[in-house]
Amino acid sequence: MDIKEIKKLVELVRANELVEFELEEPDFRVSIKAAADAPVVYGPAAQPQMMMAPAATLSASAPAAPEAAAKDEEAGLASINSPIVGTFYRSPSPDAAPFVKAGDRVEEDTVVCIVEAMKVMNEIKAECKGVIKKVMLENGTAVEYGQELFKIDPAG
Amino acid sequence: MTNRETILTALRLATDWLTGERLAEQLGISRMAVSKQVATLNGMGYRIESAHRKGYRFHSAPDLLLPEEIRFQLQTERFGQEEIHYFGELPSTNTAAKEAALSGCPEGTLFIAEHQTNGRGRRGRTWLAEASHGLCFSLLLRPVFSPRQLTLLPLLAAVAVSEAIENVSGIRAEVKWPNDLIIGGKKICGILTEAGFDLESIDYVVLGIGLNINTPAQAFPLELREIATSLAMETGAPLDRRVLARAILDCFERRYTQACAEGFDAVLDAWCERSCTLGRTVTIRQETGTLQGRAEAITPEGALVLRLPNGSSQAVVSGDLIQSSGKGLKV
Repeated sequence: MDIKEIKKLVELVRANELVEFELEEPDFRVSIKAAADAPVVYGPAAQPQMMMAPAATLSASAPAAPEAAAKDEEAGLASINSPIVGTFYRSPSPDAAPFVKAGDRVEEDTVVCIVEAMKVMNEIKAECKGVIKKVMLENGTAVEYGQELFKIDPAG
Repeated sequence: MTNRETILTALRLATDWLTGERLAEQLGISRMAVSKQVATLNGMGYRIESAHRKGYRFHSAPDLLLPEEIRFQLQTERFGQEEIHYFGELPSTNTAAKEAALSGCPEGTLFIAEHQTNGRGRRGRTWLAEASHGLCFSLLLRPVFSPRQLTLLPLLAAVAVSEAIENVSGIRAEVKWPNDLIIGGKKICGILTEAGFDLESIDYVVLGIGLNINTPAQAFPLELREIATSLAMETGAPLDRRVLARAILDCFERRYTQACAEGFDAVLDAWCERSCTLGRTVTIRQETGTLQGRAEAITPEGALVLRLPNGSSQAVVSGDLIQSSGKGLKV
């Protein structure tokens, strides 16, 4: 069951002025209750509803909790990718401190590294707020177009 | 053009004295205002004579890279025609241009300094720029082509500067991959390109150019004398820095406009023709190691194709290039 189907269900519940609606299948359960002002949608039976990112709350297909959590933890991370083929530098010069390291909090416009090609120094920005979780490459490594440079936790 | 610049240009182009009355009439300002502007120009280093009843006469311009000097008889359509930010002294024109780029400054804006206190090169190195010896400027670009073509801009810049030097002095500077200019085995010009962009589009490109023009040999530190030179050292006579600045802007705008419209094929051909790297055995020093091979070609992105000792070939996109054969060149 996807979000569209859940939305359809919510609309049906509202259109028919139902107070409560419940649907249970082997791998998921949806329960919709009409509140005073709006219907409320609950998440999958196997998981506490408030621990996930907003998108995950509506996911009605997660079967086993631990596996799903691991997957979702990875999925919750965003990547900073290289917009260019070149050489990856973590610092402005060989003997300077790195722009960022794992655990650092970054803003959208924080410079996280330089990718150089043909002496074009391209400052890569984080493009999203969050915490750097992992530096994917060593300083001085060659990178391909679109290659992942950092993992970042936007919720961190 | 400001009133001051219009007065200056009128006086420069006049063959005889111009009366304050006539200038005032042309501009629709008072004679007093004309006299104030002439005083300002004299304060900037110009020499404008004034005489009772005759008016004003242009005598000479200072040897400074003032916006008025760059723009005088500048042939370009856009580059340098609108905004020129001039500084007597500045840490780095590239840094100033980057900051301006982020606050929305338009394409073609020029940042120029007589003297840089913190001129930057590749990977945090310094570029030495003594007052009134050379030319240090940064040009702000906002190209509409794909970010994947960005790597060709340094090659384009090197070709354009080499063409400008040739037009002005008759000397042909060769291009060492990717964008250094070399005369007689010594470096005369360095280019540092800095860019901000994402996967889809380019936000800005700052192209920094440092050219040694009238630098005397003794002005170079000992460790640079073997590897650096200036145009005056090569030609034996000083050159007008303003003429070179205009020529560079002109050649660059022509190459850039052509590349934006038709692609970089013509630039790549010109680069190969002016290259002193192709056909040589070279060493590439990178932060993670060293590569050696014969420089055979450049790719459509501007990468250098090396034929390695084991017969395989590899495209190189970064590193310090040391040329070790042919004419005993070592740069």
